[in-house]
Amino acid sequence: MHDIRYDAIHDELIVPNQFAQAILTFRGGADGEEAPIRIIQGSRTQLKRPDRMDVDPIHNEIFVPNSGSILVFDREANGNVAPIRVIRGPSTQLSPRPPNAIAVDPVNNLIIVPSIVGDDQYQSILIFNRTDDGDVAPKAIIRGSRTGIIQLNQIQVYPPRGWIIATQPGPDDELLPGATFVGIWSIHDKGNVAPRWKIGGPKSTLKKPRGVALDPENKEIIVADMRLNAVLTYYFPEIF
Amino acid sequence: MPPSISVHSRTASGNTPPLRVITGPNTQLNWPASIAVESARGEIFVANDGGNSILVFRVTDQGNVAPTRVIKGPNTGISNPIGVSLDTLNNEVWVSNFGSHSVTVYPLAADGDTAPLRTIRAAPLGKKALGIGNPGGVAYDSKRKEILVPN
Repeated sequence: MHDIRYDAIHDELIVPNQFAQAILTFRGGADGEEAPIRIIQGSRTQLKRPDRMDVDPIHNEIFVPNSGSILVFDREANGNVAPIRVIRGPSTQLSPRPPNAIAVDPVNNLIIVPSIVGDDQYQSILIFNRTDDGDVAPKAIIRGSRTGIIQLNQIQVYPPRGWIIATQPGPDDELLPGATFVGIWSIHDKGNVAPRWKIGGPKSTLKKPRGVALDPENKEIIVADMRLNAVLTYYFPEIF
Repeated sequence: MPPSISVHSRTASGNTPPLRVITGPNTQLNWPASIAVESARGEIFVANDGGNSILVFRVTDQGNVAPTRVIKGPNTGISNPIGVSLDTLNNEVWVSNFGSHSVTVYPLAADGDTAPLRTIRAAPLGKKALGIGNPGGVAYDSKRKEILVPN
């Protein structure tokens, strides 16, 4: 499992299960060998090795980056159900390779997803409208050398101030890649823009950050690092 | 496919059959996860994940043979071993244990329910170790004030 989301409104955990081609929802207090309360799985779902997802607990939807598409399900979907919307087509500029991150902003009504665009070597950040459906162009793309993006791994959004927070672990095949960081952009950014802030470098301790979560109450950014096998917490009031 | 150890010629290339295969119920092989060879002693050490043991065979063994030594038992501290490495200078065998998030060290000639010479672990024995391994994501449970890590 490479993603996990906590729905604070409904007190539920949601995880993608890549090998079972499923999205699993558990009680927030689940422990031990406890069955999920809902499973989205089956041929109608169009799920293809889902590895990432995000939940919008306000509009009750689950977003899953898929091969060349973004699938949107009802949050309470269970069983072999079709997505309620699918963003797919050449105008979307979504790469056939499934994006390895996604975040939904239910306040500003946006979907944030990294993807290779065209013949680029490295990823860009594509921003869609939350209710987009079909073959639609992204409303903005953050793309270019100043972004410092190679590939992003997990994304969070902070809707009250419109921030995109994303981990960059570097290339998959490098044990200790350089230029790893947690980058923060604005939802209003577009084009070749550097992150507004970067957490990285020797003092950060980070080696290969992959996961990121936010604790707004304590103004903290929580980062999971796969090389350290650790979870690091940074006090970062600037974005809260 | 049943678990096995296949021995090939060092210069083998392409679709070449092995010289010898160690396989069968007498071998006790059960999810063998790692292997190390001690050439001077002519021994193969196997981290036997599913059997919670270190199996030792002769390099010349083949077929359904029992290991010459088995390091296994509650005193060993071996729990789902996935790595084995040999220190021939100090005559020690090192075992990484996924089940207990530890590294345990034994004499090279250890056999049976042998206690480790040393144990390296991120928590005292009997206490839960952190257990974080290759975390790909993280979430924050704001209700319980807990960090969730898919492991």
